[in-house]
Amino acid sequence: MRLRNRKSKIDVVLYSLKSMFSKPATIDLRNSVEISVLRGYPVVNPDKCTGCSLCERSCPSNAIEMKVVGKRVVGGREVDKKIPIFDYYKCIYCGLCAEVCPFKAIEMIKGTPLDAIKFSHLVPAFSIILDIRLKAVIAYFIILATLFLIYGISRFFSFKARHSQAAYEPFVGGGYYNGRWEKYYIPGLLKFIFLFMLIEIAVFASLIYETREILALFILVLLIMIVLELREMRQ
Amino acid sequence: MMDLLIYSLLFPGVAFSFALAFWFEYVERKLTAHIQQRIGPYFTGFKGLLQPIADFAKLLLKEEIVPVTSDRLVFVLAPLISLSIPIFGMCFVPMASTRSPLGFSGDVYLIIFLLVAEAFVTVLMGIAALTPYTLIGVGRHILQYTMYEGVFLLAIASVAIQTRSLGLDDIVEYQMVNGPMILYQPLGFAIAIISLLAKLEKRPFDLPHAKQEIVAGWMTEFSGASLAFVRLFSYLSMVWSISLIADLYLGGPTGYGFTGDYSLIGFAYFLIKINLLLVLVTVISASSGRIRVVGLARRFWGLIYPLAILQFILASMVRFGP
Repeated sequence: MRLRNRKSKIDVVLYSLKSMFSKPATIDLRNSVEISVLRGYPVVNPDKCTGCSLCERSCPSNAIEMKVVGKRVVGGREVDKKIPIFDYYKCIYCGLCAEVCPFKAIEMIKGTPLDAIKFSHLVPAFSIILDIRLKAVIAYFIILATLFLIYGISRFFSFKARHSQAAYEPFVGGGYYNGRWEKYYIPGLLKFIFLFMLIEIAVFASLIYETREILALFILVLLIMIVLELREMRQ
Repeated sequence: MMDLLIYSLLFPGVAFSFALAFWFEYVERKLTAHIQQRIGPYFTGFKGLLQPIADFAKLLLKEEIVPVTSDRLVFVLAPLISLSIPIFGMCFVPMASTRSPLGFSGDVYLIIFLLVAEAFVTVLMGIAALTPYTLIGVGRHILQYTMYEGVFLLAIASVAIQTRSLGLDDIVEYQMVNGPMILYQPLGFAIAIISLLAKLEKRPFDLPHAKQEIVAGWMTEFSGASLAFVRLFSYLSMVWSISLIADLYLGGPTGYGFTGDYSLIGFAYFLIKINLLLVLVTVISASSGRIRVVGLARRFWGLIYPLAILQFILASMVRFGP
């Protein structure tokens, strides 16, 4: 200390100038993946996780919250399935949760916290949190897609032939029928159905994900519908 | 995600429902033939067991002709959507345990919605090709719908009121403890079977596609793959509604030796029950003639509706009484 104190102001200026042109002591986070200092960020494997909440208790920064994501069978009884959800802004990336997990369900993936934060927006929305209502919708669309597939394959393999025009006329039993279906046309019906479905989707989304963006979307759709209705009325 | 694929494609979903639908078609054709002193399906497979599958495959491979006057999009889409509704509904029926794969508390509402959607899609299929015969068929279907739907909903409501729950899972659990609902509500069971016959357009109530009057009713214009789907739709609808009644009134998978978990014995009870109901429905429909439109209204509004309301009041008394 004494030595330092004895140094003149010029030495300090020289030192600062020297450090200005030298390499920084800290490492850029984006280039640090290869260096083994980094432990990576934790990601849970929902299939292995049993929901024991050990990771939640061991987390030093309270960054883990156990969330119910569905049901599973334990000894014949149906119980809620819980998995840890990481708050990557609170996380200090120490890797304790991965060490403490008895089933090796949490894995430290090589990467910087920046990747984890980028990643954290995608994970809850698409892969892990499947609400039971969302599950039902997805199951329905899987069924529908399968039926479409069966229909498409059968149309591909079915026999095709050339017919006269009479073959394409509907069966009317010898009577006269002009087959105009325009008389059942209701003006504005398609637009109404489209907007109605938009509103349905918005309501459904706001029920599942109660976030501000979804609410804003819901209000926007309602406004569009009201404006269109008013335009219709003025005409 | 993997469990969703299994639910929707394998066990209560597409594969299982198709297999049950083919089995139901076989049993219905064979039993009806025997009641009418014929042989029925005979050549394909063991005693004609594979005949429904052969028919389905044959229709799939035939050429589909869309009439010029029809709405092409609805004409092609409506049979596909109609087929998806009962398969989706099967995912909410408890079969092997007291829990259904996708069930949640309050899924009776969803089932009611699916019942309505089935009727709506049938109407769509009819009016996709507007010809005189399909129009008459759709009109009769809507008329019939206004009568059976209320009765069926009152029957479901009676069960829900007595069991104090709006989830099929809870209704089955109630019956596991207290015995099947048919012991408490035999009247409701009879009403449900009658409205089921009207819903499935079976013999006493097959007005919407009466063969001798209006060629094939609302399905006159279908051919090829669409006809295969429409035919399969009627049997899938039968599978689903019979499973519903088996769960609502006969206790579904409950029985002696059933503990409430996933088990083969529960599944066996369920299969036995739906097959018994299938035989009952087939015997009734094969041994009765078609009633007239006037007779339909007189029977439903004059007899069955008051009985359904009486059953509803009785169930409410059990629920809210002393």
